[in-house]
Amino acid sequence: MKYFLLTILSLIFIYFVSTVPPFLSINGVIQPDLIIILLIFVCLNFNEIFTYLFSFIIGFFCDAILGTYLGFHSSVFLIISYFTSRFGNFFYKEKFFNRVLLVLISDLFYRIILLVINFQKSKSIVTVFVFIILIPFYTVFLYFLLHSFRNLLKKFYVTR
Amino acid sequence: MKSRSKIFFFSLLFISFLFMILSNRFTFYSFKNILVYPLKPFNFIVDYIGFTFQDRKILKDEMVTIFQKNLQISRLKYLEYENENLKNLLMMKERFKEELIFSEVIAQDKVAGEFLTIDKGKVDGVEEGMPVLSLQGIVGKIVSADKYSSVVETFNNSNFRVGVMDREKKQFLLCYFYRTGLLKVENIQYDSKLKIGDSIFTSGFGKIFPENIPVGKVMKIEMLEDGDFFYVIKPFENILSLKYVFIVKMDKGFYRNRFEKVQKREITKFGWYTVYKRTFE
Repeated sequence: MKYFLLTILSLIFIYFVSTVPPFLSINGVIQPDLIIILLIFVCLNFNEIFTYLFSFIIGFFCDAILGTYLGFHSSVFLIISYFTSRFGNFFYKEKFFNRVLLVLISDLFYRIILLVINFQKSKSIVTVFVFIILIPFYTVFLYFLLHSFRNLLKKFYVTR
Repeated sequence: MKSRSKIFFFSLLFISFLFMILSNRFTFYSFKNILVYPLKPFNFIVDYIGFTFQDRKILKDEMVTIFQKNLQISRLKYLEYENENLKNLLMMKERFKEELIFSEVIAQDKVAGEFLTIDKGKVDGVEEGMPVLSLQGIVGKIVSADKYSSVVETFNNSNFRVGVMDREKKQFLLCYFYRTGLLKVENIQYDSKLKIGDSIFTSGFGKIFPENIPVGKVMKIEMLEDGDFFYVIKPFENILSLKYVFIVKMDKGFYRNRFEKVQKREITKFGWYTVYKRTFE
């Protein structure tokens, strides 16, 4: 039930994130990859099989909503979730820096693949810069903010 | 456990790749629609969250500016079109030796396009029977000329007829009104070799239209029951969208004067008796 609910909520979240373009974006251009953050969160907190299934389903929905090749997002998310799960097993995943590193690498990987796929569209160096540098770092920054917000909530809950 | 998850991962990855490969062949529209369908009710919510009132105002302003720009663009396009038309009309002046009277269509019979009213009349030298042409070709002739305006009987009128010929000037035929927007050429010789798409021109024999003015092109060859046939001609000009026309002021000698006066030319005189020879002007 927990897994099912999480999947449904994630789908709704993805729908909101991908259909409302200015959602947490800077000037409508630098759009954070909140889906990657969600994916990392699921990878670090749930078991492997669910993680794979989750990334597969989420990827399919992303493809359907964003209009990319069916199977593109699911394969990328699957690879990300696989390596994240491996990384989580090898390293101390509760450490904040490790999580941030995971988000950054995953987002970089996702963005590089997107850049390769859309190579003909991204003609200028500015687009490459935005894709490779600005968006991943902005995503990491948002992850940091979310983490801080979560800690603040925890604190508030405990003190009360 | 680990191997199970690995197998699961690779099988899912394989399915994803399979879908990706097949995407080149099949677009999976219906499948995508099924995936997106459960999320459609959220469209309404997204609309309200995504577009705040301020956004709506900005969009509205943008729409107004885009509309104004579009209007400006269409106006400029119209001016460009008009300019080109007028330039071409001016070029017509060089083509004709005769004097041309340029005129604008001010009213027309929009249903059948039988008559046009133009803004030039007797004051400008327009007379009844003068040929009216346009950039594309033949239009009609003046049937009534007032002081400041004239009425043109176009080729859509059932009384319309004009002498025509082919490009090589080998066949001389008569062209009549057939249907609105169409003309016909009847009484064709059996060895006529006009094909569909061939252009026909005025022959100048009718003494109304000058020679070599494009009339239209053969659209269809209609066979009759008795084995006879006629050509259906599609005129080059569309009367219903006509804006500028010009009238050719032909030389007086060109018109056939139906009431030619007999002139008496004196030849010799025998005393009180004079011998005259009857000649026509």
